Parts: sequence; C-alpha cells; structure tokens
Amino acid sequence: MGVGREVSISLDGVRDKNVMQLKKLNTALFPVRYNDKYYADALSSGDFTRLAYYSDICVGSIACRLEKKDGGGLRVYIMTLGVLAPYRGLGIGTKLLNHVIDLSSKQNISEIYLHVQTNNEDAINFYKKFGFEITDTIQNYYMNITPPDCYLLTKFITETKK
Amino acid sequence: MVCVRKATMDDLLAMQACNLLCLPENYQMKYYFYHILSWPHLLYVAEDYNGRIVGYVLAKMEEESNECHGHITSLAVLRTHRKLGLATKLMKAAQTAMEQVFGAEYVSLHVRKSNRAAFNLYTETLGYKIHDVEAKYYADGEDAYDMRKQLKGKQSHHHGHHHHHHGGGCCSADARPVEAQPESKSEAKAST
Amino acid sequence: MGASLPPKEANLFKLIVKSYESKQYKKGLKAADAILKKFPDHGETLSMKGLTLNCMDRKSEAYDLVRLGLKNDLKSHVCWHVYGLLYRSDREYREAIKCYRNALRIDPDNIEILRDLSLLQAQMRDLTGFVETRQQLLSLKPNHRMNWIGFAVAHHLNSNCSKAVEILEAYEGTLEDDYPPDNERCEHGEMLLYKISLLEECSSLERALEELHKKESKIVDKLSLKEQEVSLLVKLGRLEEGAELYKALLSINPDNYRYCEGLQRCVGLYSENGLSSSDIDQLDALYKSLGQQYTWSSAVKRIPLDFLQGDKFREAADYYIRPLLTKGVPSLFSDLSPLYDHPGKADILEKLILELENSLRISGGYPGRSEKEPPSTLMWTLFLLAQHYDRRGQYDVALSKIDEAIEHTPTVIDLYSVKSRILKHAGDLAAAASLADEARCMDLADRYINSECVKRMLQADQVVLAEKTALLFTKDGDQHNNLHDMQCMWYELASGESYFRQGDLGRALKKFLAVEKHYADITEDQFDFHSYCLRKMTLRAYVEMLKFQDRLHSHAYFRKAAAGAISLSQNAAYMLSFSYACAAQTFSILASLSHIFHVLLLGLETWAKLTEYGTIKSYSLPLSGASCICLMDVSMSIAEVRNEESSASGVSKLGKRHVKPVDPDPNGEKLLQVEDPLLEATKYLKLLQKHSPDSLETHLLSFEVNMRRKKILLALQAVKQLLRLDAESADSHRCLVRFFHKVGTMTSPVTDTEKLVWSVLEAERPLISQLREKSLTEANMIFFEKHEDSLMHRAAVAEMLSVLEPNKKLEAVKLIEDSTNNPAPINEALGAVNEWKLKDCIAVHKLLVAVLNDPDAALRWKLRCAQYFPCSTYFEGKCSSAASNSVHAQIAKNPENGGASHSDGGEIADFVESNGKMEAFKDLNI
Repeated sequence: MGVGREVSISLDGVRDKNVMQLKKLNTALFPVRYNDKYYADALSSGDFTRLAYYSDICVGSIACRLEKKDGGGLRVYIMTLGVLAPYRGLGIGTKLLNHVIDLSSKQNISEIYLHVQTNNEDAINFYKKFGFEITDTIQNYYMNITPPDCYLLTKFITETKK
Repeated sequence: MVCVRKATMDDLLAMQACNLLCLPENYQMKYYFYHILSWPHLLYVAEDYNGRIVGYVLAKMEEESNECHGHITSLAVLRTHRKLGLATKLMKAAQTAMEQVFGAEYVSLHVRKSNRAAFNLYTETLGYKIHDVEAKYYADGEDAYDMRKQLKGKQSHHHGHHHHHHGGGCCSADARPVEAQPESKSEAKAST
Repeated sequence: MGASLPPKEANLFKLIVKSYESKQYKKGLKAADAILKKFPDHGETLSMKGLTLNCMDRKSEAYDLVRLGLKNDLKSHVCWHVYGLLYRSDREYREAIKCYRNALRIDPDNIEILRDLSLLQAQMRDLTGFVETRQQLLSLKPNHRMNWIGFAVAHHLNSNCSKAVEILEAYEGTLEDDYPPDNERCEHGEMLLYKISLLEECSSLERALEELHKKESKIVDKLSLKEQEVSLLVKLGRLEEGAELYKALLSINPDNYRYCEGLQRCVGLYSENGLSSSDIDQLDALYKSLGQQYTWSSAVKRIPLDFLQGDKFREAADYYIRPLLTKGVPSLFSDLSPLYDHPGKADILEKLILELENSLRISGGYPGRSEKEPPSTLMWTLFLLAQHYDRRGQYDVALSKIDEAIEHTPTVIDLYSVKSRILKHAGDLAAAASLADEARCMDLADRYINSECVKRMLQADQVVLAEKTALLFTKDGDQHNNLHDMQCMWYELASGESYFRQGDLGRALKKFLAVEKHYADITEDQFDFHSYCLRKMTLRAYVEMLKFQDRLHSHAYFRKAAAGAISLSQNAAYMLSFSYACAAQTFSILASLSHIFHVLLLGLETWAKLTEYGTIKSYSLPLSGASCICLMDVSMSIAEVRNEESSASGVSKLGKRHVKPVDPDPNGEKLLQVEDPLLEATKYLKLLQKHSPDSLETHLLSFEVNMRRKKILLALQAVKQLLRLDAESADSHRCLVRFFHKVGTMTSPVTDTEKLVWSVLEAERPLISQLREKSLTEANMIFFEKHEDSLMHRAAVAEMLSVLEPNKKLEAVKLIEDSTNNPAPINEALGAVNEWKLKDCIAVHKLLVAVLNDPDAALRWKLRCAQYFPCSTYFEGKCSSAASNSVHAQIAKNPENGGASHSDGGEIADFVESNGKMEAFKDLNI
C-alpha cells in the first residue's frame, strides 16, 4: 500500500464537542498555548476553520478569524495552518488552504491575509503558489525570536472566472 | 476478527450493556425482550474473539402502517471496534432478514443531524436517503433525519395465485404487551 | 357479574368493568359510588371499586375495599378474581394463584380466570398446573389457535416433547390445505420450526428432517431453516451433507464463527484438546481454500492463528497483522490477546512486531517490501506494542511505547485510553483516571469514552466526580437518576464497589441492592410475554426466554452484586459484633478472625471513618461496650438528620412533592440497620449457591458467612466444595485449615445437636485426603512444599502458620520474605516475565500489616515492591502519582485536562502564532 494511494483525506468542522482536537494539534505544532479568544474566533468563523482527517485521524488544521473591513465587507485572517510532522508531504496543507480560498471566493470575500516570519522561505514559497503576495513588512513583530520581522502575505480574490 | 451472528436470549444483557456504554438513548431490558420475542430474526450481534459483545443491531417491523416496513431501533458498535465494518455487516444482516422473512417494502431509521459518521454510513455505504426531518426528535432537542432505504418488498412470496392482502401484510397487526413500549425514542448511531 | 343488582345498577356495574379495562378510572369510580349509594354492602362493587383505586395509587384503601367486598360475598367468583388481580399487581403471585383457584371453584369454566391463572402458572413455573389449565382452556375453546399452541407449549415446558408434537399435529389437522393465508405465513412458519425443534429435542431426528423437507416451502425464515437442517444432519451423522450446508451458510454470512466450527466438525478436524500435526496441515489447507472463496471473511483469516504453531504461526500472524496495522484497526490487540494463553506465541508475536517496528522506522515500509507504509502505520505498531508489553506486565516499556505513539500523533483518542489502562495495571489509579478524562475531553459527543472515564474514576474512588461525568449523558440532568432507570448495572456495581472500598457501607449496599432489584425486575418482565408470544407464535424464542430467566441469576453482574452485598453484610455484622464484643478485645485479635483482606481493611477504614464523626477520639482500645453501642446510635442519628434535611429540601425546591419521589434513605443507612446482617447475607448466598455452584467465590463467601454464624456443618460443606473445585488453591487451603483449627478449639459437645455435629465431623475428617493421618501443621507444611514457588501459596501457608502457632509469627513472616520474584518458567505462555502480580503483592502487604502485625516487615515489603512496581501508588513507587515529583503526579494533580488550559496573554499568543506556522512548515515538501 503506497502512501496516500488508498487513504482518504477529508475535512470537518470544529465544534465545542471536538475543539480539543484542535488544541492537541496546536500543542504539538506550535510553541505557544493559544488563549480562549483564539478558539472562540475559530469556532465563530464557521466553515472557515477546518480539521483535516487522514483516514479517521485528525492530523492538521487551518484556523481562521473573520474580520470586518473598514469599508464594510469581510476579510479572512489565517491564524494558524499546520499539519503533524509525520503526515506532511501528502497534500493536506494544500487541501486545507484551498478550502479556505474556495470558500472565500464563494462568499465573495476578496481578501485573505496572514503573517509569516521573514526568513521562513518554505512557508513564503508555499503561500506564493496559491497567489499570496508580500504586501507589507512589519518590523519587530516578534518579541523573542530572530529575525523579529514578519511579512504580511495577502491574497486578493477577484471575481473573474465565472 | 469479529463474529457476526443472530442474537440469542443470552446476548440481551450484553446488548443492553453495550448500548449503555455507547449511546445516549437507552432502553430497559423489557424493550429488548419485546424485540427478540416479536422479531427474533432481526437482532444481530458482533462478538469479538474473547466472546464479548462489541456491537449489535436492534430492529423491528412497523405493524401499524399500511406498508409493511422495517425500522432500525438501535445500532451500536463499541468505539474500540470501529474500522472493522461491523456496523455495515450488522445492518445488512438485519435488512436482509426484513426482506426475506417479512417482505419489507423499505426500512427506516432516525439519526442525529450532527452524527456525521453514522450519516455517512447510512447514505454512502448503505444507500439510505433522507425522507424527512423530525424537529427536536431527541430528548436534548436535537433534530433527527428520518431516513429510508427501499427494499425488494414481498414479490418472492407469491407462487401462482394471489391471496388477498390484509392491511399489515405479512407482519400482521398484533397487540403488544402494554408496558413493552420504550421510555425513550429510538435512534441509531454508528461508530465508523 | 353484578347479577344481584337491579337493571340500572347492573348496567352501572358493567360500566365499572369497562372503565377499568379502558383505564378510565375516574369514570369507574363514579359508577361504583353510584351503586354503593343504594347498595352499600354490594360485594362485587366494593371489590371493583378497590381494584380501580389500586390503579390510582391508593393501595391501602384498595386492599381494604377488596377484602370487604369478598367478606360480603364469599361466593362470588368476581370477588375472588379481583382479589387475585390485586395480588398479581403487587407481584404476590402465590397468593394470586390461591384466589384464582377459589374463583374457579365457584365458576370452573370461566375462561378469563383460567387464562389469568395459566399466566401465573407459567410465571411461577407451576408446570403441571400450567398443563392442566391449558388443557381446560383448549377443551372449552378448541377453535382458538392460541389454545392449541398454549397446550402444546405447556407440555413442552413440562418436559413432554412428544406430547407437544402430537398436539401441534392435531392442530395442523384442523387446518385447510391451502393454509396459511398470506398474512399468517410468518406465524405458521414459526410454528413449523418450533415443531421441528421439538422433534429434534425428543431425538426423532429422521422425522424432524423429513418434516423439514416436507414443509420447506411453508417456512419463511430460510436462515433458521438451514440452521435447523444442518443441526439435524450433523446429529444424524450425515456429515458430508452437513459440510456442504455449512459452506452454503458461510456464503450467506462468512463472518459467523459458528459455521466455521461446524464445518470443522463435519470434516473431522475439530478437537478441544489439540490436533495432530497432519490434522493441522489439513485444517490449514481448508482455511486457505475458504480464504480464497470468502475474501471478505475475517473469521477464516483469524481462526488459523489458533491452531498453527511455530514458524507457520509466525508466518500466518505476520500475514494477518500487517494489513490491519496499515488500516489502523484499534481492536487488533484485543483480537490477538487470546493467543497469549498459548505457550510460546507471545514471544513469537513480540519478535514479529518488533521487526515490523524496526523496519518501519528505518525504511518506512514493512520488512521485505519496497512500498512505503502510510505514516500512521508506525503509530499503530507502537500502539500494538504498548498493549503487548502491558499484557506481559512490562509496564515501563509499555508506557514508553505509548508515549512515543502519542508524540507521533497526539490526536488519536485510543492512545490515551490505552495509556490509561496501562497506568491502571501498573497501579496508578489516579493517573489512569486523569488520562481517561483527557481522552474523554477529546470527543465530548462520544459516550463510550465518557463511560470509560467514569469507570476509571470509580476505580480511583472519585465517586462524586464520576457521577457528575456520567450524568453528562443522561437526559434529566442531575435531579433524576436516569442511570438507575435504564438499569445501568456496570455503573451501579462499580460505584458500589468504590463506596465499599471507602467504607461507606450504606451507599455501597444501596448500589448492590439496586443491581439486585434490576434482576428482580427482569424476572418480572417475562410476565406480559406469556400470552403475547402464544399469539405472536414466536415459540422458539419464548421457550428460550423462559430458560434464560431460569438461569438469570448466574449472570456475572448479579454474582458481583450479590458477592458485594454478602461481604458487606459480613462487614456490617462485624461492626455489630464489634460493638457488642469489643469490651476487652483489641483490634488485632478481632482482625485475625477474618482473613478476607479487603473485608478486613474496609472494616478498619469504616472504623476510622466513624471516629471522624467525633464519637471516638482515638484508636485507643479497649473501649467499653457501652461507648461502642453509643457510637452506633450516633451514626444512626446522623443518618436521620440527613434524611430530614434532604426530604425538606426536596419539597421546597420542587414545590409539588409528588414530582420527584424523594429517596427517604439516600445514604443507605436504613438499609444497613437490619437486625441480623448475616441473615441477609444468607439470602444472597443461597442464590449464588443455586446459580453459581462452580465458582470458588461462592463457597469462599459461604465459608465466611457460616463461620460467623457458627453454622459448622454448612461451613464444612463450603470447605468440601472448595476442595472439590480446586484443592490446590491458596484460598481453599486457608479455609480447610481455619475450619479444622476452629473446630479443634471448641469445647466438648453438650447438647444433642452439638453431639450430632461432632459425630459428623469425626466421620468426615478422615475422608479429606489432605488431613489423613496428619496434623494441621503437617498439612500446612505439605502444602508449602508443594507450592513453594508461588507467592500467594506461601502467604497462605504463613498466615495459617500464625493461626496454628501464634508464637511462630516471625517464622511466618520469613516464609513470605524469602519468596523470590522469579521470571516465569519458560514454558509458561507469557514468556520471560516476572511472576508476581501487583494485586497479590498488595494482598501480601495487607497480610503483613493486619494479620501478622509486623510493621517492620510490612515496610520492607513495601520498599521491595516499590522496585517491582514503580508506578504503584499503593507502594508509593517512584513513578507513581503518590511520589510528588513524578510526571503522573502532575497529571493527576491537575483536575482539568492538561491540554485544555491555555495562556492568558492573548496579544503575545497572537504575535507568536506565525512563528508557530513556520515551525509547522519547516519540513513541508510541496
């Protein structure tokens, strides 16, 4: 049995009954413990926050926050996107990100953005493949790591292909 | 790995225990008696290699309605024994018996709207379709999907001449013991 | 009915009856009062009024009226019938039968009463009476199908199968040729199958098979038909046909192991005690061909692991395990676990799985395969290994494997459940409970992990938390105990046991009795089905149900509950006897009277608890008898106060009192206050003796109870039963020695009864081979020599030594301390594993503390066992949550779920999250 050949990858929502799965993932993936607001935002973002299942195992997630733009309308902020180490390279991250992009375009949301550390080339290249561009650089965004600067990556969705 | 077979009287206590471990909808022993003493053909269990009951299906025939049809009262598989296809095997066994013994036209069941795993099992693996939504069906206020699957019906029964059909067809209406009604509504859940 | 009344009132009387049947009780009551206004002494009306009131929850009035009615009209069958119905409603079936019989004396052909009587006779298993009544019913109404069937079933139950067949055939003779009509096909088919099974039961096998073939087209239930046919074929020795039919059945359901077993029998390859190697080869070939035929069958793949040995086993196991690990089947270990009882297989499995693990680590694939496995395969392999080492008692390795699996994929709930189980086995119940809670939090919608967590909490004696957790899944929140209504026996048993461990005897007894009540209700459940099944024609199922009911009390849950109630009653009796007899006695002397460790220690704990109530200031003994009795009184009055409080709050909160019945004895204190707890114990003991005569525990309990009750001959019976079941068991040995030691210290017989007992003992003792021409001390030493390698046997010998020769306590202690924790002998199934079990070591420690009374030795023992069981909280092992700095201690101390908490610094978290993202993507290959 080859990798990924027979194993199905599916996405499911986060609810208060299974939010612990997201917490477990975050504990394993990121060196921070997220606060209640993070999880409240994730839960209230509805379908924008997703868990990724490898067969029936939860192995990755994308957590978003919906923000009101100044001029009205919504934009999506990707708070976290991550896949457990052993399950990387199977297209799971891609599937999660595509889900958010597709959903945004369906709901006529034109802007998705996130922060990434300036030296994280893998991640920057990853997002660029999906049409994200560097729209800003924030100096001293991080406190305890070097470099402390981050890029703002943004994808603008235009209503074209219909 | 796991033996799927018709339930016997000795399985009932273990079926009740399995139900209480897995599902929020529970029944007193008498309701299990009522099932096995009315439709002994429709109860199946999954028994693991240590002789433990790890899953069951509890089903019945609806006798009041005009169309003779089966109903899945409860389906459970222990979480520890998922991924063995037990729920599918149990359901198929009960459906076959409904068809062959009672000539059921269709089989119905209820499932919680939020129970994605069970819903997928019923729609994708077993071919059930949503027939209706019953608002606030469950005690905690959740809605249920009323799902149905068409069966072959009773054509196989006829050889040569036609008998007149009574209302309930082969599953003739019969009074049940007064107190054998369950306290709670039925539900089916599968851990897949 | 109502015959003596004028027409108007006679009509009213009919209305009462009708209203009763349609449950319109108020209407019936009005009619009754209308009659009674004119005829206040009319017996039948009084009776019916009583019966109506009975249904309106006015029980005592009901009995008064019914009895008055009967007194006024002793010659009325209605009055007698009503009296019978009243008793029946209270489950007083014997009384009800008497009333019906009186009614029938007056009106012998009353069908209704005959029918009611027959139901009670079936319920009470008055089988000859049942046959008579059913015969009468049939002769009165021979045109009713149900009466034929009822008569046949009655004969069957009364062990007259052939008569039952005759009746059914006579019934068939009354039917038309084209019977049955379409709407009765099911029922008729069931009747035919029942008849065939009757023929089989009375060994008319040929006739049964003939009948089956003749009626085949009329039997709708084709599956039962085939199963019945194959059973007959095998019994007739027509094995080739049997084998073919089993294959046909397998093609219908290849997952039914019983068909596989049947097929094996038919081809002569089945044996309980092993097969020859050529048989094994044939069997292997058989299953290989079945495997090709039924590719979906899991049975045909698994069964060969049972009979294959050595290299062939290894190969088959490898072939079996690989795809299941790839698929991630969580029950794989439990499926393999019976193989751990086969010598040598555990070792083979260990090597095999380690090789898989190693290869997966190095190449990402299985040995000899170039394809890569899914990433989850390594995690499932670690999961399997953890359970393997757990089974072998190597808890440290088990924990390291499961921790690695959790690190690999921290979202898989099963991993936490298994870690919890390992910790429980390793002796850290608190850590096990908190791990189970962690698992529970990962899917709050799943009741199974909730149940598992509740079970662990109860094992760790966290009863309140456990109840709160369990109630998350019951409908009415905390007010109403849905768990009890739904007969959730595992929960009641586990919480009863926990209360018992904690010395809360009242609550414990309440839980045990709740389980006992469920069993009584289940027995009661059959009542409605006596007539229902005759109409429904589900006769095979009905007869099975009756047989099931007859052996209901041998079920494990009942056994546990009864054993709990008995131990507890002894314990309560122990407290009582303590209060009367403790005047000049010290704890240790009393303690040595008892040997069941848990009972003993619970007694001590109860004592400790009572002292907390403030009645006794310290353990300083001796106490005066008076102060002890006063102690009992105080605890009783505490109970009363609490009861009043709870009922008062029940009223105020709910407003209406009848909404929720308030439990008048929530803590079970009243239950405990029986005159003679040992007599209560005897009640349950009798049920155990009847239904579980082959369980050692039954006779151990019987021994304890009867020794306490000074029923010498019954205690002797128990000893003899123990020796019959297992003379080499340490417990049997203990009872044997204790019994004859006790008997030896009794004063010479005075009364006739005593002399009789004495003579029985003298006749019996030489018949017990262990004691023939030997003193008890000698017998004890012989037992020692026979079992010197076993810790528990040495402990029993040591304990008996101290009983027989109290001055040899040091020697007894030495016997225990000289035991060595050897690796189990090579030929044992589990392989290279240390022999001692945690629970045995704990029992030995309790023995050293409480019976041998040697605190120094107990301490030495504790330190020694802490080495063997580093996770054990009991021995305060270095890894247990009892040791302050261990990992599990930290888990256990944090009642919230570890992963559930999060930092407060929201801003900071937001800032670093992108950094986290970087971490996650470092190895990302896109």
